[in-house]
Amino acid sequence: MKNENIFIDPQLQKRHLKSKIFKLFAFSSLLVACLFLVWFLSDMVNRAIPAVKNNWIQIEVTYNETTIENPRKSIDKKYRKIASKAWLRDIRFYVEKHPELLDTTTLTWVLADDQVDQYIKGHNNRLKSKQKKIVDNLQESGKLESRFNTIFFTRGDSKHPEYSGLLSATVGTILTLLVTMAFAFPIGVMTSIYLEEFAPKNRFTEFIEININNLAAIPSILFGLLGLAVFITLFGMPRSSPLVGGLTLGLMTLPIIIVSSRAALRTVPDSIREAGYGLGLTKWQIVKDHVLPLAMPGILTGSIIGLAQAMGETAPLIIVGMIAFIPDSPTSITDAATVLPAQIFTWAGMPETAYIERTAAAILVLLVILITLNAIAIYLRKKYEIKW
Amino acid sequence: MAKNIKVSVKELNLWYGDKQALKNISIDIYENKITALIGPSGCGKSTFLRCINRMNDLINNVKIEGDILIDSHDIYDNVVDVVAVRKNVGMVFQRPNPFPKSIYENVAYAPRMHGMVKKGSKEEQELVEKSLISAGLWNEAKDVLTQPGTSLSGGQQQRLCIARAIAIKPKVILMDEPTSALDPISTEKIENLMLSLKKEYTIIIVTHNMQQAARVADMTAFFHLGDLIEYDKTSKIFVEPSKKKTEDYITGRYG
Amino acid sequence: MLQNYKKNLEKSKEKIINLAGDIYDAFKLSFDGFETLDATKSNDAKKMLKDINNRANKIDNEIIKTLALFSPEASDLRVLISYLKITNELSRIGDYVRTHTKTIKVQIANELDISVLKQNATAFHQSTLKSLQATIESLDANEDSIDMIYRKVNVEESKCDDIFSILEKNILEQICSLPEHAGEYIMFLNSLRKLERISDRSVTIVKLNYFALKGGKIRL
Repeated sequence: MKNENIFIDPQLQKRHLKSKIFKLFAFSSLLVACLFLVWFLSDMVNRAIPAVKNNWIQIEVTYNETTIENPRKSIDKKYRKIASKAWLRDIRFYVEKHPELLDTTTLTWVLADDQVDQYIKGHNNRLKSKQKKIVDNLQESGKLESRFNTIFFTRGDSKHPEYSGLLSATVGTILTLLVTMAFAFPIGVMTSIYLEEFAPKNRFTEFIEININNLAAIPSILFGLLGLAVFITLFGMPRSSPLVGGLTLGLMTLPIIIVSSRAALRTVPDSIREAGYGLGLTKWQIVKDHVLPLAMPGILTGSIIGLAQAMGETAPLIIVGMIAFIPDSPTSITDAATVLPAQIFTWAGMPETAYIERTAAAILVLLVILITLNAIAIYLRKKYEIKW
Repeated sequence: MAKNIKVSVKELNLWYGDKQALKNISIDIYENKITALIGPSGCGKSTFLRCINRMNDLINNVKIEGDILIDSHDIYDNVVDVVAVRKNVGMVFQRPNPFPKSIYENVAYAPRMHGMVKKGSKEEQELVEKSLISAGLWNEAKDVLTQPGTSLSGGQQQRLCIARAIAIKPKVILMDEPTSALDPISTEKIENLMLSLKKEYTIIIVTHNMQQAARVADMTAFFHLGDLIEYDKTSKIFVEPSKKKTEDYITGRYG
Repeated sequence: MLQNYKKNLEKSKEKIINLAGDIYDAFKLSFDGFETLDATKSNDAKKMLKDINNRANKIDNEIIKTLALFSPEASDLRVLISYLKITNELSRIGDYVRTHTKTIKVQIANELDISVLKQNATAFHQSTLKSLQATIESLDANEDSIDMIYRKVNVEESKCDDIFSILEKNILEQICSLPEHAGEYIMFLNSLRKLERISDRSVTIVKLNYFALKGGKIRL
């Protein structure tokens, strides 16, 4: 009798093939997604790279009272279209920092106008051939330098692209998010604690739970309208302020924090609570000392993700007016401000070519911040995860 | 030896919604004895146990009628604080559930909350040591008191839960199938522990393992479908039960 | 091992050893009475045996309880089962010793002349005593010593058998020569027959202990 090996079965090959095809299909979808991502990022980076440098020219600048009043008069006429008007306007502060320069005419490194900047970088520009020649001369005689663009990080928005930066938008974002978190985090966590630990399980609480879940899915622009109606019109809070923007985003983030906090509280096994009750502990003691510390990593993770999402919101903030032109950083939560995504939106709509690279650079900055926040969330979650 | 009554249950009835789970249970539990509750699944023994420390209050839809007196005081009286009941009636659960804190904190937390000791005081340390010694865990735990309670083995965790329960000096200790999740060696350790604990505490244990009841209990109560069928000395129940239902269950002729 | 289970096992062992020891002491006393023709010793011996059956029953009931509560296995189970059967044997031995005390009393009262039989009868009593001693030793033996004890008890038992045949012959001769004391001599023979049974049962007890220690099957 032939000793058939029951473990060898050629019929199974067909099933294995189907499995392999499915795997290939899934893999190719992943590949397509990655390609899109890579293409997008490389495009952004390419556009943003020119923003790293800006150009300066070394010319004679006269510092005296007249020129401080009327900066146009501080430099030679032929350079008027080549030097940055915005930079010249600030020679008042420059003289205060370097008082020995008063009443002198010195060679100074002056920021170049954005058209010059674009010409040097080889992009479209509106320089006339006369001006181009002057610039070429300056370049040949070594009086033209490319430096690292610190202005991008130290100054706020400006009508002159060469003098515009992210600072005011960044400060505005930080203030707004502080308000958002101060409002949404305590209320959200307390609500979820009540709903999860204290509320009786009846139709009414189920109803609330369904509605909170639905709130998380509402288009964010509606929150903007709500913010306009309630905070600005009803409460009379200042328009365009981080206070209003923060409260609006807070309302938007609240459902997310509640939902993720509840999920975190649910992962704490009931056996811990039972042990607590068995020892004669009150509900509050059990929640405060046992359930909450265990759920905190999950709650934090959820909050950070909610925060990251709020950071990227533009639509509701536009409605409450944070799309305005804000050159100076806000100093309090009631000053007018703008946020990074809104700044990007504004710059994207500007005609000057110089804004293109700055918009791309701002997008990259925003991306980096978002990725960092999400990475922190993931790190926290992994570090404090307790395996039951 | 005089037998004092520690827990006296009079005509206890319990409903989960419309379903009656306990039918007119009356039983006297004696002090410093181990009383075992046996019976097939769903007979109400765990439900009955959880009435004694009012853990059933935490479940919705539960109706309880009847009296339970501990040391002659009705624990279901309106003026009674349920937290005080649970302080005096400790519970050890089927699956060991230490808090995910250090071993020391596990034992010290509840006494501290009840105001028995101050945090970090010498009394607290002594209480932790004494409880761990009584639970037979001191030698294994004394060098690792700061390690999390969850780093211990299953049997050790259960002994930690016992230490935690006796730290608040209860009068009665309830154990709901305390060794059903443990291996035989750990089970034996805990059974020996019960035998030594009964000198100071009154112990009531629910077990679906009849042999465990036979080994450790002084008195055994047999429950069946919510009724208390027979309650007598363990040696009587296992050698010569009075009721046929009991005999059928013990000899394995039932279900 | 569970503390209360251990206590139960030790208690049963102690009680059975005490029971066997008391029977041995009673028989020794009765033997003394036979030797010294002292009837009071027979009386004292009889008193010692008063309670034997009750004590054996009590040991049995406790063993039943231990079996019900602790489900002993392996050597523990064999030991307890052996004890259950040994109490039976000890009860019977107690009965035989009681009969012996009665007949010795009568024999002393009647001043029966047993000078011819004395030497053999003494040897017979001594062998019986030695078998009883072997039973006590076997209750406390371990795996190594039980072999020697088993051999010893078998030797004493065959000695008893041999001496009994001789004694039987001698007593029948006495009856033929002194037929007026036939009844008393027959009673004496009966009591000796009981002693012969004591050594038989002693062998059984040692066999049971052998089974308890070494396992195998019960083969009595």
